[in-house]
Amino acid sequence: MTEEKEEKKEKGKFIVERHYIEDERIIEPEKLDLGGVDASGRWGLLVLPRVIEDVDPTIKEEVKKLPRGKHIDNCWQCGLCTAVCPVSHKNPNFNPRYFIYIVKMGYISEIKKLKDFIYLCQGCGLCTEACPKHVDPSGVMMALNIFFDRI
Amino acid sequence: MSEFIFSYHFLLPFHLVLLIISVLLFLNRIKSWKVKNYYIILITNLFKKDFSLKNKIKAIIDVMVNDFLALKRAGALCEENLHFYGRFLTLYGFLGVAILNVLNFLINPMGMKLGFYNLITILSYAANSSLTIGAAMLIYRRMSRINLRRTTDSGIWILQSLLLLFGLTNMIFMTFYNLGLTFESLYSYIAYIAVIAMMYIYFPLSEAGYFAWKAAHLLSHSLTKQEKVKI
Repeated sequence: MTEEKEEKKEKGKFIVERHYIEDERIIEPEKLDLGGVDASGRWGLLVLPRVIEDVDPTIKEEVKKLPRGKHIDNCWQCGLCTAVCPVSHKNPNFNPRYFIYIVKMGYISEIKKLKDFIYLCQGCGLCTEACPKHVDPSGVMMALNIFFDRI
Repeated sequence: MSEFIFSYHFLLPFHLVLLIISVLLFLNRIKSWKVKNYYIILITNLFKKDFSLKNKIKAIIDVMVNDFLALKRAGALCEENLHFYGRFLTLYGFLGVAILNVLNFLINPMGMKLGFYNLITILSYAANSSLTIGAAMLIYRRMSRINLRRTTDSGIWILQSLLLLFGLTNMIFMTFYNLGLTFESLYSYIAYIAVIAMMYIYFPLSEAGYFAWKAAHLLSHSLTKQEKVKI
């Protein structure tokens, strides 16, 4: 069991920002021969596309009605909020930029997957200080804390 | 008249009525968010027999100590002293004032003068100073940062100002009262209870209401062992 876990952890370890990709989407063939060329292991690595079926682009409007969520539209995804976020450094699944992205796009299935991580927000406001578009990511996280509970 | 409003014959119904209004406003706010009322879920979970009493107490203590008292979900990890100590002082100051008020009620229900050298007075000064300094730090932090100041909505300014005024008016009143200045203490006391009334009304409508909801959310999840992710 431990070996199996270790193997899973090792899978796709050379991928940059590996934590964004679920284990199930990574295929790393143990043995693969492509016309005489050995493409086993990381040489034959495939990352399956992410399929999002559950989409509702209107959820952003709901977030805008919640306390401190009104500036979510200003976000241009520069990622400065995530770069300065101390929680994000400790747990990469807490990613303010990505949370705003999935809400603006209306990716319900992604929200369901990540919604428990939103409650890690410390509300320190470092992201708000860094944001060049005055989105108030700290406030938006508060609105998302409330909104994600509905999903 | 002053004797009446200083005594708990006035204070007890005053707090009770405002508390009921505050709870109703809070419940209405939760309803407007269209989220679950975790206080009801929490109470239901407490009486469920799925988990032993020991496990329930353990889960509650864990959330209360780590998330609440150690501020692990409210600033402890933000690596910024001004913010962390601001919240720390405000939280502990506020808790201190609340506990000391209850203690004072139990040992001094008529609201008699305790004097400057009484332990409750000394601790009350300490708690109120902590609250005032903490609130002042939080206000200063928001005012001194351009982006933070620009995006801060009026609700946060009001909340932090109320906390600051609460600590200040309480200290001013205590000083006048213990000095025996009847008129000054009466006016400062009216200001103090006016701030308390505003806090009761405003807290459920502010970020404090959100924190109260979040605390119940985390607690009820920890009781059902669907604990939220930890760092």
